Amino acid sequence: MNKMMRLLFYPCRKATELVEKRHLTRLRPTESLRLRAHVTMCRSCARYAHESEVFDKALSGLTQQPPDAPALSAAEKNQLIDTLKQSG
Amino acid sequence: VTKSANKHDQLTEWVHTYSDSLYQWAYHKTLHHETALDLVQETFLAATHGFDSFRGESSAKTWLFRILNHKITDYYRSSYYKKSTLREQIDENTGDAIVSSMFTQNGDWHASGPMGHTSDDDLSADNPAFVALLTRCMDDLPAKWRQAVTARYLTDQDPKIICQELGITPSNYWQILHRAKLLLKKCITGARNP
Repeated sequence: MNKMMRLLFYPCRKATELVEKRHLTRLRPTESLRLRAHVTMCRSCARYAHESEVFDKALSGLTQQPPDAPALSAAEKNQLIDTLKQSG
Repeated sequence: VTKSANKHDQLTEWVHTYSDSLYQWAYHKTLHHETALDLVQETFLAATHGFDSFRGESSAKTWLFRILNHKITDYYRSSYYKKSTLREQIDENTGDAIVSSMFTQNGDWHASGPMGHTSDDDLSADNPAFVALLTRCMDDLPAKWRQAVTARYLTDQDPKIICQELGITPSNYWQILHRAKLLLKKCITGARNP
């Protein structure tokens, strides 16, 4: 971004931080305006916002449905039972 | 039948009945198989030692989950958790340094930084290869950052409690999320464009 734009808009680091803040809480009106202006003009930050959402979607899917290992194996359960017996 | 044999029969039954759902919950909270397995074992050990205090006022399942939730909280507070960041994960200082290297001093993206280059077809929550890569990249995050990212998807936790557990303020919270996402971005783009 050039110098003049920097006066008007957030730097990318700040803008992408506000992308995360926006997920959690309401932005102040000025923050919201400046962020929107930035993301409209800055493809890299628009890209970040898109990726951030894809990460969230993928990770929320993961936490709802553990991959590959949704359960303990029979061996792991038996070992657990043995450990409990030894512990008294 | 002795009291002790009784206890062991009961616990064995509980392992068969509840260990899968306890494990799933622990995995959901930690996104880490061995940690989840350890937490389940600790839960059953605590249940073994505290067996006499279980009076059946709540269901065994509720009781076991309550113990597990304590164990999860302990885990995130313990020094083991802090030390466990050493193995493959990077520490927070290193994470901060990597994040800073992605931007210029003015806070713009570095031209040489990992920008673009990913195709939208690949970058999708429905693409198993992408999700697998994302999971691997999650493992490399500083543990606290990973927890900050995953804590959001847990229905029982409001942001205040997450901040308490992590010992951070709300503004820290989105800053950590921001840094974590940047590391994930770098990790994913790096793996795709070696």
